[in-house]
Amino acid sequence: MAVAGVLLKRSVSVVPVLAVVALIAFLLLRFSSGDPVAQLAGDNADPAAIAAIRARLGLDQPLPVQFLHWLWRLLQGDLGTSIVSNQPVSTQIVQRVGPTLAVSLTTIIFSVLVGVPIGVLAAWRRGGWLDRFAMWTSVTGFAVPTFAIGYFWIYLLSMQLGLFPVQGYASLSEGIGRFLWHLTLPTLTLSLVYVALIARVTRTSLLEVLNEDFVRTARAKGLPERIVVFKHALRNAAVPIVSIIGIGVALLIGGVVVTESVFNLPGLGRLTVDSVLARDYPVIQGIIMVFGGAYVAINLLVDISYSFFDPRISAQ
Amino acid sequence: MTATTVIAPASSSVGARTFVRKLLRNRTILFGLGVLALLALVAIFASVMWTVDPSALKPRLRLRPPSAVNWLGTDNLGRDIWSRLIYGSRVSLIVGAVVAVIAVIAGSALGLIAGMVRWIDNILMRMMDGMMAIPAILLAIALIGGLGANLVTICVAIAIPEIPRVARMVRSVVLTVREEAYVEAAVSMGTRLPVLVIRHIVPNILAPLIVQATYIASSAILIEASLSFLGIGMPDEFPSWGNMMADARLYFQIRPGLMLFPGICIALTVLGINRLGDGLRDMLDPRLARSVGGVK
Repeated sequence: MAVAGVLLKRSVSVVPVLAVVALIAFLLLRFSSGDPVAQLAGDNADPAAIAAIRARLGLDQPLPVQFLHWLWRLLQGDLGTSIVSNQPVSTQIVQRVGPTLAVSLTTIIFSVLVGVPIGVLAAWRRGGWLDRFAMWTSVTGFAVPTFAIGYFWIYLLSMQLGLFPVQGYASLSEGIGRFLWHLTLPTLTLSLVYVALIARVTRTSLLEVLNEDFVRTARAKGLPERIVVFKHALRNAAVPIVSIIGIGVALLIGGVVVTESVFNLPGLGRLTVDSVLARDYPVIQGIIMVFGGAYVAINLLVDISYSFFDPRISAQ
Repeated sequence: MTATTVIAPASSSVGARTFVRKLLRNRTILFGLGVLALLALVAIFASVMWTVDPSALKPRLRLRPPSAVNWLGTDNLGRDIWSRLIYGSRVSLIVGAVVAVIAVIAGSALGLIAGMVRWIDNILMRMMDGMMAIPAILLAIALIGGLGANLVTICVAIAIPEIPRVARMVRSVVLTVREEAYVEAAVSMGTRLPVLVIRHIVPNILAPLIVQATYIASSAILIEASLSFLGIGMPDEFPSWGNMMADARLYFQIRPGLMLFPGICIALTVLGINRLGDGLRDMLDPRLARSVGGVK
């Protein structure tokens, strides 16, 4: 009951945010320089043909009416038609979502698996070499552009050592080995900042918890340090760690766009850049909706997971 | 004499001097200031420091190693790397500063309005939530797609996604300060709104605003580099560090320096500004330092 209530309340609160994302995507097309209709009609179209297209797309109507139309079509899952390929935008997005999803998931999994233990060790041996190393890596890691990290890995691991392919993507249907082999460098590239972020928050959050009375009690009754840290402390330090994973998603999506370009992955990031270069506005709008929706959905999940880690939160 | 003048902190030249001394004793801040000062000097005196015209094409001198004429070698079109690096500092510095100023001014205005006027607050904050749901770099890419790419549109496109973050912070400070007894006292004495804002709100948001401005500047420099790298940032005739790395994509196997030098410039600049921000944050507001997990 409590969980269902929280779920419902949070889900409803997401609706206005998505509506604003739709409004921004809508306004972007209307206020962009250059007439997309003229582009759609081609170079040799006469004014009558342009007016006809304008009427067909509903662009001759007042802005609020146009926005409601756009919302109505969105609700039916219709994201419009690409100017360049004439395909439905939703079809194009579905075709390109695979690599983006794959590299995002491997990055999140890898970052949690590496970042949390580093953070725990750094907090446990506070001021030790790992602590200092982790902190300095994160400080410098935040300063290096994602694409530069990508080329560093390409140079070191593929060109010099020949361990991984320089670029390209293999879908899961080509076998899990090939799939992961192609995803290794993009994942390493995207993970650096994310690992640093998670390690830092884990460390801070754990240090706070380790000062609590119940940790002292657990130690006093003679529990091994391993159990004190992992069973008592880490679970209570989980909420900030989970929330940084949610906040980091925006960072991750931004990084994906650049990383796909570096490694030539045929995902949504490449599609974004190609669409901007081709001024294919309907596709850009569709991508904004998809990424905005993903961000909102993931943060909704993160919010809901709080009640799992800290039952007190759902009671409120 | 009004009550507000009594409560306002005394600002004297003595206070300012101890503040400066405190700044200069902090190694983190000193490092950040040093990097920024160096960058500013390079950007201002670029025309003296470059040895070869940064845009001059010398197809016969392509991809040359460092020499007496071309200190760091040449790129794939025979352009001098050292001179382009020097010139590129201008783009990064301008983008960082302009974006921070736009985002801070627009964000503070919106945050103030949201914090003061109840009925606007709800609408404005829902708009800000929606904007924050779109990743900054994606929104910037989309805006540039609409506006076209030049120095002005790039700055605007990078600044717009940062505005909600500033607005949120300013709003939360305004909401807290509003409840303070000294503000209530000032209001009940009939202090006018502009005076109220300048005397009580501004001193409270100044410190977090300065810290946030440094982070906005460094992230703007990174986003500009990424946009240029993707080919939708600064037009190719402007040497920017991002553009140089984009050009290096096909040639860095032969000359890793093509990628390495601009990369180091970006990283050092961003690192410097970030350290300045970290240092100021720890000094101005120790509470913030803990919640973000500050690096000592």
